[in-house]
Parts: sequence; structure tokens; C-alpha cells
Amino acid sequence: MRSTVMLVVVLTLVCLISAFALALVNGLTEDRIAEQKRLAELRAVEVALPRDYIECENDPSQDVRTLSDWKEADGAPKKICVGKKDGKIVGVAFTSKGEGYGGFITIMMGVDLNGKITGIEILEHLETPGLGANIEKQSFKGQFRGKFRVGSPDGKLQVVKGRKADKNWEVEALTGATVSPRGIVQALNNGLAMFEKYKEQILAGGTLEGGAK
Amino acid sequence: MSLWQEFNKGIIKQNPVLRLVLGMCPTLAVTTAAINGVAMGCAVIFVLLGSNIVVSLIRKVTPAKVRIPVFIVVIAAFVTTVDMLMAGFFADLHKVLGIFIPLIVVNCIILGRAEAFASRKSVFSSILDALGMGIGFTLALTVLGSIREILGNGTIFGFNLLGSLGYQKFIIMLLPPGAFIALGLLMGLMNKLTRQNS
Repeated sequence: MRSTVMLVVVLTLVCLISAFALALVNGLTEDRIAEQKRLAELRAVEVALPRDYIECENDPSQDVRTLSDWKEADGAPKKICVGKKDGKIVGVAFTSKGEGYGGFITIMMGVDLNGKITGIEILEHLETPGLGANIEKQSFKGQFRGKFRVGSPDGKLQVVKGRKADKNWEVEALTGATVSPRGIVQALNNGLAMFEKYKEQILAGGTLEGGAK
Repeated sequence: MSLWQEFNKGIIKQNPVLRLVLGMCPTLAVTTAAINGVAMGCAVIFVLLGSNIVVSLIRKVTPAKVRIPVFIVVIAAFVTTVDMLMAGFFADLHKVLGIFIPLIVVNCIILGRAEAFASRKSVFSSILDALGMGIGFTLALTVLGSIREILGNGTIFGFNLLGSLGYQKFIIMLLPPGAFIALGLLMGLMNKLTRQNS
């Protein structure tokens, strides 16, 4: 009997102390982790919607808008960063998701008003190190600038294997990994479709984050 | 066993990867590049050190019947700590290692050392054991990662090594079969070397 009580007491104590220690570490790191994530997104906006490329005069990563209709999967309003030239919107950046080999790939994508990709940055992925994870390489993600879907047989960007991409809607796959680039292209196609759908609202300016028009 | 041997044994004689053949999941999965091996090894050293110390400290009050749940809770707490610290302070590294950090919880080396060593020995011996085993694990992963990175990608720690020589990349070395081939040859080499010594 005594030993049975000991089992319960020791295990309970170990669990309690561990939980307490974890709560402590969580408290210490929570803000930093959120801050790192925010910084990563800001940096990603600069890559996806480069200021010198779209020739905007504002800093898109600081000009965040929301639309009344475009929502994230969890119902939160979609955040859109806009780049402006002479007071008019010339490009937008927003996050999008596609299904990769190891789970969802989250990217930041930039689009100009003609639906041309201005750049992409990978935010989160679970792809295989050394293979699918090479989507992070500049040689891969740099190829997206200037791609657009007009003219493609199915109206979408496509991944091509084993040859150079020579059309404006074609994207080159990675050696040994086809699923990961497809995930990114899927994210881009989803994002482009949403961009077209809400283009009018985006051009109208949406709502500045924080509420002001 | 002398203290030096307590530390030393994990590096060659009882190397966790090449001798005890423990922790194969991260060994095979992350060693596509040398830097992954180093980073994974460091995370394992931290967790192993923490869990060995705590398990050794509470070894006299831990009832034998619940020792495995107790070990796992302690190990999981340390792993989650590493995960959160890395995400907060080394965001880039955390991005690279991703899923493999939470998986340290089920790494047999950690539970194995808790069960076979720390739960019977003093705290000081357990620290030496953790350091030796951790370094042995790190070395094995780094060597394996280097072999696979050089053959599969022509680079080492990201530096171009063979690329300019027109090297034809041996991509299978980066794929799962390459991990098995390299590990098998490395184990064979290790056996040969240690046999000659004894």
C-alpha cells in the first residue's frame, strides 16, 4: 500500500515540477518567439516585394492592410502589405500555403497589378533536409520573379521536370524533389486566384491595420 | 572504471551510433549535411546532460515501477525547453532542424543512458557519461553528414569542395538509401579499426 502511494506521489511531483519549469521557459521565450516570427515576416515582405524592383516609395512591410472579405482559414482577416507609387498601389505581398512533401509550406508572395510574381520567400516548411528543403536556396526561389499564369494551358503556373523552364508560367523543379516545388506552385496559384478575386478591393485600399481608412 | 574512462567510452568504445546502434532515426534523417549533424548533436548533448543530472539526482526516490514514465517526463521537459530556446534565440537553426528537435524525446540514447547509467550512478559520473555519449553522437553524425554532403552535393559545411571540378553529384547519398550505405560502411570501418587495436 505504502509503495503504491509512493508511485503516485513521485510521478505526480515529477510531472508538476516539469510543467512548472516549462511554464517558466515558455514565459521567458514566448515574446522572443513571436518577435522572431514577426521579423521573419517583415524580412520576407522585403524579398517578396522588393522596393527597388516595383519602384514603390513607401515601405510595404510597414503598410499593412486588411480587406473585409478576405479571411485566413481561422477567420482572422488576411494581412496584405502594399507597395505604392505616386499614391497608387503597384504591388502587394501576402502569405499563402501549399501542400509539400512533409506538410504545409507557408510562403510570402509578392504580386504586381498585372498578376506577375515579384518574388517569393519561404516562411515555414517541413521538407526533407538536403532535398525538398533546397526550396530555400536562392537559385530556386529566385526564379519566380516575373512569372505569370497568362497563356498557360490550364491557366496556372506549372512545374517542369528535367528541362529548363522557357515559358512565363513554367517553374523548374529541384533535383530529386518534385513535390516540394509543386507545393510552392500550388501556394502561388491559390494566392494568385485570391488576388484576382479581391483585386478591386485591394485597389480600393482596404483598411489600414489598426482601423483607420 | 576511472572517471576518464567514464567520459571516454562514449566516444569510441561504446559510441552510441556506431557501437550501440542507438538513435538511428535522427542519425539517418538529419545527416544530409555536416552542419545538421553538429546542430543535432549539440541539442542532444544539452538534453542528455540535463536528463542524466536530474535522473541521477532523483534516483533514490524514484520507485522502480514508474521509472520509465518519470524518465520520459524529465526528458520531454528538457527537449521542449531546447525547442523553445532555439525558436527564440537561434531561429535560423531551429528552422533547419525543425521536426527533429521534438523527436529527441524518443531518441533511444537519452532514455538508454537514463536507464542504464544515470539511474544507478552518482551525479558527477552521470555528467561525464552524458558529455562522452553526447560528443560521441555528435562526432558520428558530423562524420556521416560530411560524407553524405561531400558525395551527394560536392560541398562541406556549405563550402564548395568538388563543384568546380565538374563533379557529378551522387544524389542517392542525400536520399535515405545513401544514409544506410554510408552508415554501414562507417560501422564496418569502425569495427576494423577497433579490432586491430585490441
